[in-house]
Amino acid sequence: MTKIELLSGNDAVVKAAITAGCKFYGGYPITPSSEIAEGMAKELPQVNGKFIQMEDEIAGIGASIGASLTGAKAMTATSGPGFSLKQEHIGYAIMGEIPLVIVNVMRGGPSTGMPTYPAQSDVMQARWGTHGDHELIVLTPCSVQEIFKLTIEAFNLSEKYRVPVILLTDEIIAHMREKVEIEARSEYKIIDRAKPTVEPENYNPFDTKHGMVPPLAPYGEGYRFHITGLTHDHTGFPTSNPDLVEKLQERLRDKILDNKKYFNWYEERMVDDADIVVVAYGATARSAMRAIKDARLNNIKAGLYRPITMWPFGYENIKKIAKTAKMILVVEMNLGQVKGEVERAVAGTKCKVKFLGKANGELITPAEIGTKIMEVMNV
Amino acid sequence: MMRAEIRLSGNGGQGIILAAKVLAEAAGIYANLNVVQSQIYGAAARGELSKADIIIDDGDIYTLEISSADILLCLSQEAYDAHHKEIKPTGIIIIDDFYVQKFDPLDKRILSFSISQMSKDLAGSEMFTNLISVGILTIVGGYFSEENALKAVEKNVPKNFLEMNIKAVNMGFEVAKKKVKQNC
Repeated sequence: MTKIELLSGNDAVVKAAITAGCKFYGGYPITPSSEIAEGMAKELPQVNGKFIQMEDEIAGIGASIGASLTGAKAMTATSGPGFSLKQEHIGYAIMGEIPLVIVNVMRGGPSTGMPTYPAQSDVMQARWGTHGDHELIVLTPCSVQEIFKLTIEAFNLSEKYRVPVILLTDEIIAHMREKVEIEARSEYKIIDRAKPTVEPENYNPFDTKHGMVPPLAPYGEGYRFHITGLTHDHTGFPTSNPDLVEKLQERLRDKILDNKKYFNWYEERMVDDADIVVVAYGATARSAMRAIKDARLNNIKAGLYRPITMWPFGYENIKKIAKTAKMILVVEMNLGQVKGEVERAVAGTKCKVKFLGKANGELITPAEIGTKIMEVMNV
Repeated sequence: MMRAEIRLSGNGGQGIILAAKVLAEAAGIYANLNVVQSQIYGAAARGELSKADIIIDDGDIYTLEISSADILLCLSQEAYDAHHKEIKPTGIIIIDDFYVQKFDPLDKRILSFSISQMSKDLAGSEMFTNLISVGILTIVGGYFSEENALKAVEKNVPKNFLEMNIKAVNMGFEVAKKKVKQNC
């Protein structure tokens, strides 16, 4: 039966995480993500899960990584400076191929910036915050309903591909309340990580005989294996053998990029005949939806492209739009992050890229987007 | 298409956020409209200015913020001073007559109620100011039924305070009905 509830975005993360089967939360509260920690502290004990508030954000993600290795679906949530602190361990989870969901509620930065005001300025940090070549998955919802849906998907992708998945929300959608339709748990597709079928003595945690994503044994069930942040071979022990390292690096990339078609999520509105396509995500996309409708009333053929999967980036989706649209207007609450990726995507086409960005803690309004559309279209 | 923008303002501790949540659930869950409810997030609990917004629409909601409200509730002078210009020409400003005494007497949009006094009469404290306001806003707005509002109250207040809260909301209904009649 469908239940309708009025939830904030942060509440929706909690409900969805429990639905997805999350059993561990390690974290350190920080505005504007704190309600997630608060909610998990309340909910997890009721499903035999564990909540632990650690001494800081680094320890929070560290504990979550440890819990995940015991087989528990694990999550941590943070914002701004806390996200900076977590970067080192995000790399560790990528290298160790440890499933983990990280929620980052974007607030104004850099540094402590504006704790209670929204921003969308961590898009690049979500992609490249941790050092080294790497691939990971980042999702950007634009409503409370979508936060619920994508939190479940974040767990699914993380378990399926043994990779940390980042849910990138913003202060606006995290704190506003909207109606959310929630189904019975059995109505949702829930993915659990593959477990080994071999005996413990024959188990290797990075053995790719049966595919790019090897099964992960839970610690504590008799499988003894090594996990390290160092480059490693199929046994999990360190190696710097160039051939093995190359194979590892390429597999870590390919297990994400070769499967991208399964999670290349985006929304298009009125794009087919559009002269100008607005690219926007998160709370900003809501304003953009209004703006393109208003533009159509003024006889401007406007459309919207909204990335739902932010990383890996949908270059090919944008490239397709650039073949028919004259112009793309990127709108984001920062000084230009997705803009650069859109420019890369349209390179070589005649489509022009324009930009409307703001990093002062204010939501970009439909009127501001409308005015910019008029300006760049020379109306 | 119907879009209504309601702004509740007062000082931290007056229960603005709970009132907003009740109104949002009445509209969103029980009257099956779309709703976005947000609030300023700051030091509201310490008695500073507090503000909560509710946007109600029968279609999708894209504009997430209120620029000028249809209904503005001001439970303190500071709230009135800060927000009384953020209202549509056809809007309604609801003020508490004890806390808001300096206002534009020529502004025909102002409806004055003894909200905090009514709460004192009911319970000897101002604790129910917010729920009396919910009753008033339900009638003045007319976006959802009294029944919808009462259901939302039932869902959101602690059981041992339910009876008093229901009384408070009903008091709000009654005074608002009288006032709306007078104005017609």
